[in-house]
Amino acid sequence: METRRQGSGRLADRRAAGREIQEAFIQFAAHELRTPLTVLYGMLQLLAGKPQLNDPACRRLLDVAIGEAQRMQAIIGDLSDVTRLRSGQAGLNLGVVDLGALAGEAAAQAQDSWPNQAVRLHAYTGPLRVRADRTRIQHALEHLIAHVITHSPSHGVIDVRPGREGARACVVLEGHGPPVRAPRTVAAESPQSAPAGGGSLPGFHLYIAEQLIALHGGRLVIDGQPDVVMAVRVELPLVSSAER
Amino acid sequence: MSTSPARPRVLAVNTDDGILTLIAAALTEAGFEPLTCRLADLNSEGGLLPYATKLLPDAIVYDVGPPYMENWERLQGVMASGAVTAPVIITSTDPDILRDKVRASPAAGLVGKPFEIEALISSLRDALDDSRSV
Repeated sequence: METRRQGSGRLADRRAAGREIQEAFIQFAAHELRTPLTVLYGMLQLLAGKPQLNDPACRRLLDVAIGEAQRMQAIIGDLSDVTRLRSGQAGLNLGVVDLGALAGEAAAQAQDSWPNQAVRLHAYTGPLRVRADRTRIQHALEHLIAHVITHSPSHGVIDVRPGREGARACVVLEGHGPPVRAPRTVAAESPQSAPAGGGSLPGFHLYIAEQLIALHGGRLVIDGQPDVVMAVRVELPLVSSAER
Repeated sequence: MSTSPARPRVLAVNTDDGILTLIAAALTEAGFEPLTCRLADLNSEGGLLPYATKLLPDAIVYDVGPPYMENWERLQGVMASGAVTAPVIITSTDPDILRDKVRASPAAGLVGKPFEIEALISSLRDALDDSRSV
């Protein structure tokens, strides 16, 4: 008779095998999608160079099409990157970085990208040193700001608040918008136990951010405050003085 | 009577007909003479070396697809032999895997897919300028 421990071991094995299949599938899909996307994107670029298409209406349509092709390119790139990191085919480029400074850079970039929104940085005066891959954590923050903005009304206000809570550095992103689901911790403490799929949260931005943060031993918390505010909180372990 | 200067001949190698059509169109618009070849056809005729020897392109745009390492090593072997003197620009859907290897090889550049047409043409022009100045 199978013991409970044996049963849970087999379940864990099946989950691990399922995750490997899923990651391999994403890798193949990313490769296969890049080829037709290269053709589509390239042809649009060539069309954009044609003087016959200088009519403003044509130009506007082409610009939208090129923008969407670039967006598809970014989505495929992010999926591929996260999958490779999770499977160990790529590694994080870790160093000691200041999460407050990264939040400031992400806020500035978001303000440039969404000029109709007021992105306000509430700077934290102390150091918020974390061990992180600078590029990827900044990317995660950009995804989260994009998510908050997507769910906030136009001409709204997005607050970016770096800070610390105990032994963790955090960044809270707040936007005015519709309520989201009840507060819930969505990312695990370690990459090994991070959710394999994107089913735990709606939205691509959150999925990528969740995965990148979990790979750093951090977590992402969604705080839904009914009818008023959407808030997303990123938490990463602070570097201890011995590690510096 | 004036003669127009010869357009540089660029051999593009790829598994995908759509990519070859795109590269040919982009090269033509940029003033190059495109020569395109499906990878399977090239391999059935003995690989890059006999093809390049026969066509004598001024530059080569060669796609390295999966299995990346196997395909890269085959190309690297041809480049290292010195028998192909035209500068080679590598294209790939996974440039990160190849970046360090390309840097340490005679290849003239690496362009990830999907690429900006301008980036590909600019890499080609740089490679041709470099090869002429040697």
